[in-house]
Amino acid sequence: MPLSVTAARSVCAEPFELACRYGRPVLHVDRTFHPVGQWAHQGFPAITAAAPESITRGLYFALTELTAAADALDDQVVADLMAEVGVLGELLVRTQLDAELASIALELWGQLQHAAGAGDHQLVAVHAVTMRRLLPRPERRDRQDTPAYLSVGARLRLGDGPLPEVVDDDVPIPADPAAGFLIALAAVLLAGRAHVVEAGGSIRCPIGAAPARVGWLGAAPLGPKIGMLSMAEQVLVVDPYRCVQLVRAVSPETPDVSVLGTVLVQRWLMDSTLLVDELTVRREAAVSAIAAGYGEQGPAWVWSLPLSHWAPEQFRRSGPRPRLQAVPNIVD
Amino acid sequence: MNHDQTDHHQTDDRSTKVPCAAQPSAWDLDAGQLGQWLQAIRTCLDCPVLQQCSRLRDQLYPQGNPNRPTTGNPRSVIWAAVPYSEVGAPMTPTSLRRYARRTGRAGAPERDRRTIGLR
Repeated sequence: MPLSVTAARSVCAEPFELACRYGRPVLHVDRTFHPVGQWAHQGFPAITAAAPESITRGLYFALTELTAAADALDDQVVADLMAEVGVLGELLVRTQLDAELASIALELWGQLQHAAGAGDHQLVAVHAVTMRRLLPRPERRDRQDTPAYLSVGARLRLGDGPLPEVVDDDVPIPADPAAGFLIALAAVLLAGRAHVVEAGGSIRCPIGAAPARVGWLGAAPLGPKIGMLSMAEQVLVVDPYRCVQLVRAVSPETPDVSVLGTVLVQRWLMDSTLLVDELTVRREAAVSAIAAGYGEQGPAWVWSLPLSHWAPEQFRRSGPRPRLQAVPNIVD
Repeated sequence: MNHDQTDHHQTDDRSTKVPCAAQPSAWDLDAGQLGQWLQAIRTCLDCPVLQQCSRLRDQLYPQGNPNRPTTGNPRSVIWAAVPYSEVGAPMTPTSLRRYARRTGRAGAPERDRRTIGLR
């Protein structure tokens, strides 16, 4: 339907069939003042200096890394950071109470969402850089901020590809704390020093996993429970404190939970949680146990580690591979 | 190249090496492709002399209007991160994409770039 929007009035012509002069619905916006255009014409000045620093800094780095993820065509990280930008952007607008800023931020956010929805990574990157101009450039990146984006291949600094498959508990532990922890964790489970259970609260060996690789001897669990494993969702969820305590028996150089958690988040090896209240933003280097499906018996915060960090067969049930069977032709 | 594309790459601070000086055709909407233009906008948005560049445009185009197409605006050029069409219409990056399709300068679709690794 032809719809005319001016500064003074909005007109919706009716009835639809008679008014549709263009053959299809048309939205015609005729504005004498366009806040985004004006802002761009002024050289994209930062106009949010009065907002709380934790919000503007958080949004600045989320947009920076959104650009990097879009450049790398990393859809999963783009989706995560879009959610983060949306939350922080809403908080920014709400704390500023500035009509012009709200208008500009809303339009830029709309364009950014449209580009992300269309899977147009080039436009996502441009819109993210444009939106970032609203914000003052922070002096430094805080550990609470979105870490610098790393491509999948750069997250484990081993130099020669992915983690090797751990086949015995006498495995050499890499000096890198993140890679060392992941190798040592696999060794702990392999040695039966601890076990993980199937996701969903049941006390049984994870479905599709090799019992000996996840701390089980047949149907009997070995050592304390440190978390759960889901082969279907390809994730290992562990209690950080129990886990690090046991891993240190294999790898004494393992940092403490807070340091190691930060390292894993900074390397994009693990999810973190953004905690947002009315005025402040902070990041927890862990995820909520309930959100992760760890159940009511687990700790409040857990580490959620994708199985893709390990060798493909690290936890998988071993056994004879299925053989191809000859099937006779079926003739009617 | 459009005659309106005056040498805007010179800024007030002549000693500053501005990014667009090295490859001015990427800022020219009569040349290049969409991918270059979007990259040019990003370069502008991170440019240390963006504000001076905007002021220079205002000096050279005092009748410019950021809200509608006018002969008082630059034409067929990206100036201070703002693309202007051949009729002087300021465009957003999204409308720049439509402009590129219309003028046959959209380049390869993104899925093709994924396949052939042009990034």
